[in-house]
Amino acid sequence: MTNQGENIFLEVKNLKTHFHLDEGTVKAVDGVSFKMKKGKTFGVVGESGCGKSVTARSILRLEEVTDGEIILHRNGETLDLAKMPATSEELRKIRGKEISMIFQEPMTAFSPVHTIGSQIEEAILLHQDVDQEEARKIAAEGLRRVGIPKPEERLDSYSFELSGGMLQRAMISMAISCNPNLLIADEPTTALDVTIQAQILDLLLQLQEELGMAIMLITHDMGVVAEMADEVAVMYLGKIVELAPVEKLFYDPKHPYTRALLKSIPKVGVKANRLESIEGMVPDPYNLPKGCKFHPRCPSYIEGVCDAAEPSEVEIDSEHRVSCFLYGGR
Amino acid sequence: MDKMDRDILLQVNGLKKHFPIQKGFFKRTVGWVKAVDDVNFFIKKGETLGLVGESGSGKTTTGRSIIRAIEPTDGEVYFRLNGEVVEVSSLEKNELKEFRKHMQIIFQDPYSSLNPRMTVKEIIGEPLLVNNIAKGSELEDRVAELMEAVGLRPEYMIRYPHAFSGGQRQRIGIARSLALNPELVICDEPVSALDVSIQAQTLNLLEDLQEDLDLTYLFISHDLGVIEHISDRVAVMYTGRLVEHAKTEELFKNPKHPYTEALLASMPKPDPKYRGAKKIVFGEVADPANPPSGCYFHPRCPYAQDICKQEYPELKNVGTEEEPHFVTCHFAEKLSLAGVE
Repeated sequence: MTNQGENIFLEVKNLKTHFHLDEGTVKAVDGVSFKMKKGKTFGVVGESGCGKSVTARSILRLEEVTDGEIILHRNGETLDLAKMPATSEELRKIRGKEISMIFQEPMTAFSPVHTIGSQIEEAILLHQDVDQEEARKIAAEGLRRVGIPKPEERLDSYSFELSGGMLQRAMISMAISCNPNLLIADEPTTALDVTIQAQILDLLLQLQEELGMAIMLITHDMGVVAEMADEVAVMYLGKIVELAPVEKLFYDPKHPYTRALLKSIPKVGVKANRLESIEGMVPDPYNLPKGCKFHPRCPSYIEGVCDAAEPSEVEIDSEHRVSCFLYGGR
Repeated sequence: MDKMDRDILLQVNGLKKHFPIQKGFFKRTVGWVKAVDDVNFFIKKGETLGLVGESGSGKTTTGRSIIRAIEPTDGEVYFRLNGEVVEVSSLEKNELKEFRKHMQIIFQDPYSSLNPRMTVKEIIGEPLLVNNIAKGSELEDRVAELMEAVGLRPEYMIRYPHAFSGGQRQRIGIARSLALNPELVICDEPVSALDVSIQAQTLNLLEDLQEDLDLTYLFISHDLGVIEHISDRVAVMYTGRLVEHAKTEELFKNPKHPYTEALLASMPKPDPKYRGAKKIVFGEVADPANPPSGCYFHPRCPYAQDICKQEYPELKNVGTEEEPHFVTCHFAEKLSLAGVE
């Protein structure tokens, strides 16, 4: 990471989000650190329950953060979002303006009893000093920018009148209406068909180029990560097990979990007789294994080492780090 | 269809399922959703036919119409049983019940397809019980055997579905579908709700079972990677119609329908070297209640010409007699389309 601080927009240090429930404590996010650069796409991949969505929601303080720092770099000064009260005026100004978010299911993310226009205008009126009429103009312009035909008419539509792909476009338009520096996209195309998914991903790349925003892309789909991300974090049970630039992660993965994950997806154009699957399943969050959380499923498990202590992060090089005893980390 | 090839297990001819659109107090029919419209294909014994398409293309309706879980509007379904050809589509109700033993289905969602009030033993044993095949300790033995076959521990048969993870539940669903020793299993998106690591385990299990029990699969999925991995031949659907049907390798390397090309180009590939090489198809999937004129894909097709707006293309074979490659496109022979290497 050269020119430190210059390009960094957001820095997350040792973030922990734990949920205290009757059954026990779920360490949904347990000590996660990463940096997000301006104008770049940071991909977070992992299976369900690994904490990728909770990480994103914690950054916006939509979840109660247990510990850690979320540092926003703004014109040379720094702000720790984790220290602000979740309901503070300052935080509300950041949410939706500097950092905005789009969700997995466009069908449920919109209110069905308000028009699309009124929902987009609300965000604009909240963060920009404009009147109702101007807000409507900006909203219409926004819809046009994301490729929705007849935007003026669509402003008066309700969410159920639009298709999933069109709604996802409308949500993106709402999210970027205040030119955010960071767009958090939580599984933005999972509910969509492949041809529509390709359109939406392409739209995101195009908007990123125009607006220069950073994108935090959360997905379970290795294909989407390979196409979109500059840097990728692989999560397993609340921890980042590997973090690397996209080429390094796909061509030279270090962590046994990353390797196994990449091998278990059927690849188009390569007809393998058998998929290499990962043995076992993700453990119960109330009853996590000791030591490295992946060791019961790991093909490279070392007895007496992996089940004894948790590996610390090892730097393979300045931009590639991994938490595994195979590379030191004791 | 007495001359159905000896190695063909299932032959589907002109299958149609049209759902009425009803409006008003008197439920007047104001139109039809042509969910499945004139679909033809065959499956050979012991092979896997992959049925791929986007949502609303009619994949699931096709699967369900074959086993008559929903009554098809028109068309014939022939099934070869012990050397004899049975017309499934004309069976009477009681004959159908008897016949269904030979065709079973695995559902997409392992959470909603298992009754939460039944134990695993009751779930897997139900087909055996209602068909008077086994009861008592015999039933228990058979359930234990089935559970072992799908990699579940028989001790767990007294548990309820909520005690199992998604992958394990899907195994329960698979065990249930195998209880009656079926010949054909319709797998309706069996791995779509599962995480990648569990998806790979389940696909491997389905392949092992196919080999051990000599099963034939109709494998329905929207995921081209999964389809390519598991299928011997692939049929592509778009808005209720079959647009292309060929051997897997041929279809992926050498697609003949522009929609297949678009699907292959749109799918995200888990390799950064394909970045930016993507071709985007514009527009949205056609509405089966109100499909476009001519070829349903023409409004999105980059190669469309005047004839495409007027006439729906005929299904033709652009392959050989032995290795047929069926496609419905006016320009199938003329276009050179890109597949995947």
